[in-house]
Amino acid sequence: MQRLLYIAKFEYFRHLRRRMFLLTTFGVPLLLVAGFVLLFTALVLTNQPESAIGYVDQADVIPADAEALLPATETPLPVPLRAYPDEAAAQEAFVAGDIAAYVVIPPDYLDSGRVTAYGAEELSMEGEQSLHTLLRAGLLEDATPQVIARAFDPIETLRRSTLDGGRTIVGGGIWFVLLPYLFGMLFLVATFSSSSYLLQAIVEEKENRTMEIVVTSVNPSQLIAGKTLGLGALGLTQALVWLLFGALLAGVGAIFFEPLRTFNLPGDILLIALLAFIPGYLLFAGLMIGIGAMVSSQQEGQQMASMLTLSGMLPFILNFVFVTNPNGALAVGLSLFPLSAPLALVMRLPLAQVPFWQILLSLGLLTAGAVLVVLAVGRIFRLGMLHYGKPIRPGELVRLLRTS
Amino acid sequence: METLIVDHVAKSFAATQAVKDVSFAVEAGEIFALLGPNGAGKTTTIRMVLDLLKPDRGSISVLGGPMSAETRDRIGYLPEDRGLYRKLKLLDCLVFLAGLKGVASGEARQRAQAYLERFDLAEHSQKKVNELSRGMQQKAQFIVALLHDPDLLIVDEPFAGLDPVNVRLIKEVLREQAAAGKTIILSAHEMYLVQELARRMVMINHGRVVLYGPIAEVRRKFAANAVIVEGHGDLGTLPDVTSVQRQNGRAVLQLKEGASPQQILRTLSRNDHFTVERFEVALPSLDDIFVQVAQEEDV
Repeated sequence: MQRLLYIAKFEYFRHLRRRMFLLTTFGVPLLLVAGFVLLFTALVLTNQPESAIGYVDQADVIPADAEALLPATETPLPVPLRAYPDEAAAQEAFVAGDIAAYVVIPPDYLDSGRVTAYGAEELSMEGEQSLHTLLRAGLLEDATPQVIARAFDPIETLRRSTLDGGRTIVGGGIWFVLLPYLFGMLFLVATFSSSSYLLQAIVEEKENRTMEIVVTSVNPSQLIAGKTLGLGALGLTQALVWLLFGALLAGVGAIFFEPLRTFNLPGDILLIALLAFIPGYLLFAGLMIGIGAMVSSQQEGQQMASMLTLSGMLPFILNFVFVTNPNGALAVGLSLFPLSAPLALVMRLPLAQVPFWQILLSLGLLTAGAVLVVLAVGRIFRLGMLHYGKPIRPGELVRLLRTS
Repeated sequence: METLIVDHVAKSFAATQAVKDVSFAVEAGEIFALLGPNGAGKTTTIRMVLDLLKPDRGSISVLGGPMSAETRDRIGYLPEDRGLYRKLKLLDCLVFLAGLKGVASGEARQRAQAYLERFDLAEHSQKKVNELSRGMQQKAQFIVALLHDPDLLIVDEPFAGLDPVNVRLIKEVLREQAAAGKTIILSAHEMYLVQELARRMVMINHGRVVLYGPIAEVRRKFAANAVIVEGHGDLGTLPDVTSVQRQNGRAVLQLKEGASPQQILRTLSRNDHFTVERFEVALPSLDDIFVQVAQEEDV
């Protein structure tokens, strides 16, 4: 056990210090943050709310007490609006610096909906919002308070339900679509990066013959377990860093964007995802070690690994199937097939009421697959690790599994 | 007391039978040579001894029993192909590999520094392994085999790629290890070095043992009935000699069948016209024996 942890620690720190790891772990989210900051700065710089805006109401749609008509739920106008009897008075106030701009609501406003702004290239978001609110309040002058309240917020609560009436998601519509993808991304990052490091480490040790030295000190099972543990922790570190950056971005973003405030993570999905991720990682890790033991060069290993990765990513590629028919044959099939199960299952869960037996069967098949692969890999590793020069042929592999 | 007993082991890969039937024993504290032409089955035999491969048949006892985790820690191995982490710094690489054998990190660092000093690698300790020359990597690999102070040292081609100064250094260290009671299995192609270092040997060819025993005995067994004589004067007519070959001031006398070197020595001592300075039974070098056996086997 001590040697196993020694190897795990060594592999973890050896890869942690690699430039490529640091670049992907911190570089990608930093790039995202930089993009976010740039966008935000541009938005702030180009959007300066006016101190006050004047208006000339030639259509006579805004009564003097328009602001009093606003429903209690509505926030006060972000930019104060001042009425002027005519354009000359508004212009005079503008020249005097009392207002930053003024708008003229022409007599044919009700027909044309046209309003002209003077004194500014364009109104700020806040200025425009104030104008909208005041106009809406004026137009609803004769309506009852209930109608006014509804007109300002036509859908106060939107309940979203899956087609079969199962899971109901309240609030943030954007998460309805994004949640499965976020789960998927996290799984992909943690599993595929770890298992590809694992493949890289095994092939590298075979190529430079370090394997022969290492296995004279520890037995192959300790070596495999140590590497799987160390590099699994590495993938988890990468996923956590990304998650942390994501949370940070979402936290900052929530201040400015309403949908980010409504995000809530369902506990049951999280638990099932966790139960799928562990055997999912072991399955891919085992397969990568197997490939590493069979091939003789990084390139060859990467080619075989990419086929596996593709199978794992299949639910991502076929995501429309999950959105349109999450309980259809293809979606169910993908969530039962061990290679695609971890991703398919977590993608289906928020979208449909997945029958309990399917969840159990999916997790069961996945775990059984992982155990089988780990056992088989333990068998072929002993001979494969010293197999230099040429890859092991499939026929030879079958013989190895039977005889070793 | 034997450190290693290899008893009728055999190993096949697919259609190739790499080792057919190999048996030998290595005594504690000796330098034992494991010889054979390329592809004879030496590396496969070593890998079976190290438990990297399981023999199809036969048994192996290392340091008093079958391979165990404790036994592994008592074996040092220098493989024919170098096996170091190329992107790690030399010192870190040595410390990690010693750690795998159970040496605590501080102790490993101390020992590694001492060996690096001795092998003239101290100034390269912070360089990455792939920045070192082939010879330096070879010495580093040799240090890996020694760092955990093993009782059994298996060295496969330890002199490959080394200059005469470093060959002398490795020889010196191997002798020191043997003097300290460690058992050494030496596999090398430099027969003059093997002859100099090892006391006993086994030669494998085509997966079978073709020579086994003390090197001196093997050489005697292969000796042609001849003597080497050096001296001044006229050798005269020697009754039991069939031919005289002169080379570099010495004469190689081929003896008649049944004649013994003692008879020749007696005849020469009676010859007043010749002064004997050196007289020895002509023994073939290990190199000659190796070539002869390997060629005979191939016929």
